[in-house]
Amino acid sequence: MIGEAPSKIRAHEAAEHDFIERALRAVGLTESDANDVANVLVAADLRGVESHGIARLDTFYVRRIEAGVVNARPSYTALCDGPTQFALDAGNGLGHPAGIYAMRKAIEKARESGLAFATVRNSNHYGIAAYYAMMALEHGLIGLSMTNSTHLAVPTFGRQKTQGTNPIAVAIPANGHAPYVLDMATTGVTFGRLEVSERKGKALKPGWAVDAEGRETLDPTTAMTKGALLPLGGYGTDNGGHKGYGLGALVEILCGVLSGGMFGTALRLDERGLHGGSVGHFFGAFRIEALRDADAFQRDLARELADFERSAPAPGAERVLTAGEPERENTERYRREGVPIDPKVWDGIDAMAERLGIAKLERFTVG
Amino acid sequence: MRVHDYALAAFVERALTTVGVDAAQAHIVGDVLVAADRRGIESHGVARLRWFYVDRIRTGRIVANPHYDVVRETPASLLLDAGNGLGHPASHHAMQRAIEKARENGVAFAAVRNSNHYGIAGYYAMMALPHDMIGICTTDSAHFAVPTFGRDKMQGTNPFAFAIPAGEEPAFVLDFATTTVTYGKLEVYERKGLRLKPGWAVDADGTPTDDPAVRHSGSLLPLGGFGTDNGGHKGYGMGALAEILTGVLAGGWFGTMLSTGESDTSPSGITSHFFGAIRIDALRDLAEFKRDIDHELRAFKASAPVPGHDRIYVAGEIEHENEIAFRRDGIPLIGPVIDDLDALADELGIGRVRRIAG
Repeated sequence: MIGEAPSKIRAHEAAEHDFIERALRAVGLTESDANDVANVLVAADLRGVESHGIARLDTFYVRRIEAGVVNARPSYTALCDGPTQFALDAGNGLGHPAGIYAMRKAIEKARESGLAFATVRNSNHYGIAAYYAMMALEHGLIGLSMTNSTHLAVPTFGRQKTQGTNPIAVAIPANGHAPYVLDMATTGVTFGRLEVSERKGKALKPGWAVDAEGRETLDPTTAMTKGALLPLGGYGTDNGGHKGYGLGALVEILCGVLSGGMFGTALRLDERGLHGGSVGHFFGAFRIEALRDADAFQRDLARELADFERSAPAPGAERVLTAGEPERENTERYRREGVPIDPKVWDGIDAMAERLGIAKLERFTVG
Repeated sequence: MRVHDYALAAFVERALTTVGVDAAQAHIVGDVLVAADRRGIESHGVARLRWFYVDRIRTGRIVANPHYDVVRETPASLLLDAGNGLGHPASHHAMQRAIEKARENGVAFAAVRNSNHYGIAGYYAMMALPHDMIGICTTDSAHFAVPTFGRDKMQGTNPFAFAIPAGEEPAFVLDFATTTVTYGKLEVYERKGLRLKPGWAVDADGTPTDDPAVRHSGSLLPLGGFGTDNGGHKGYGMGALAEILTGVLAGGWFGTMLSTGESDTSPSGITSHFFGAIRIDALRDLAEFKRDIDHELRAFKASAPVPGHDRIYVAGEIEHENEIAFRRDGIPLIGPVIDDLDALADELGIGRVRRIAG
């Protein structure tokens, strides 16, 4: 969530999906892979995670394919394929089709064996982590998804970037309640949040970012150009910054080291630069029945989530939410009212459409 | 005042066997509690021996020699009902079983219900290390923390622990409460007359406060602090995840059933735990993994610190250094803790903890 009012310029979900597919087909993706990417990007925009949706289509995906640093037609290699485990080399293709492929493998194996993990190496940015975790839901499984990313964050008391925003997502099905979907960067905020602060001329909050010397800064421009993000919990250890740092490092180890992919200083890349193949992912799927009757579990989870939502709000707050609830509400709303796309993003995708020689995404304005 | 780790463990065993705990189980509790003290996590060590364990057994709230019931078992999973026994032996047993199953199956999970406080989460995750596995562990607890923008206590400090073996480097051991600080930290601040930091606690209305006395009426905040600006919703989300994976998934207590605080009258057998073990070589060649993780951990440590700090640590490193030092020099115990242990020894009619001379 970026914390801005949604753009009044909208696209229909189906039109956005079609547009993303056309753009990616134009740079050589297969129909199936283009469909995968479109599914993930549209899901992000519907959930209100604008920073991970169509806003990145050109810079993170299309341009990297055009520049030849990401393969449009990668060949996948299964590095290991057992009853509870799967490891994939994604051949430097886009992260979304590779992520979907690996998560499907984990789900298939978990349905047989009770639980399974999958790693992916030599992949690229895969969009929102939640998408893959949520793939487990329709099978009644618990899903887990994480990814490493180009380094944007310092460790506790450090001044060099040693990890990315390294998100962790977990999706758990509930019967009689929306599923529990936790999807969180292990940094306090994402880079996108700094961009929004800069655009609005607002100071950062303490605990978000540091300057080049590793000192806390409230200036978004300093943080973005010379500084770095802070782990969840902020600067130092007083507010648990070492916990966010530890979680980020955990993701780096599972996605980079355990996958046999890139990690450490190899990932000190420019977030917006043209590079490929450096990212790894980690997925898991678990059958609830391995531990407990699934119906009883899902009923109890619905009760648990309702307990949270019925609990008393703090003064000035309207209600207590559970993880995934705002995103679910956004999805319902944007399906109905159209997907909001920021004016600056519109400019970018219009220019991209011209460059690629494809029809522009159709827009409409809401009141 | 220092004591040798083995002398302290022997004391815990004596105390627990005296109140009727089986010797093998008492040995495990001693091992877990002393591991906490040796790692420098004083709040979870022998300081709790009387209040959390011995007294609860003496009053019959925790069963000294429980019957374990395997509720469900598959080649990759196990659900154990711990019969309202001590949390440590039940957890040790469940994690051991998860490790055995993971050896066969590549990965395995175990859950435990009808259990009690189990000490440090890191202990059980670390049981995977000698087997070249990744260990995972979480637990719920009595409720101390509000959800984001809430004022009711809806979850505990609900820690997660992950242990990942390395080659020559010490293992990566991340063990953290999903609240910003633990309840023990508020006690320390009240005792020292210090103000709390923003992001630690709220009063009974759910309003942030820096008054340490708030611990009597207020609540802890999730990791990330008040509201969503600094990611408080992430800490809340992880705490809720812990409760779902333990209480709800194990079919134990959860939600408002756990909103009891931690008092002498709060019910027992309400705690649930979750354990996992993953064989590294199920996913990657072990020697290559160990070479790479050493490389990764060294990259963190070699990165430049901010002015005023001389080095970057990785998770578990400080505790590892404590372990080496305290194993060699003995474990430091503060006056009130040693007094409490002495009083307990006298009450139970057992020998006091032997101090290191000088």
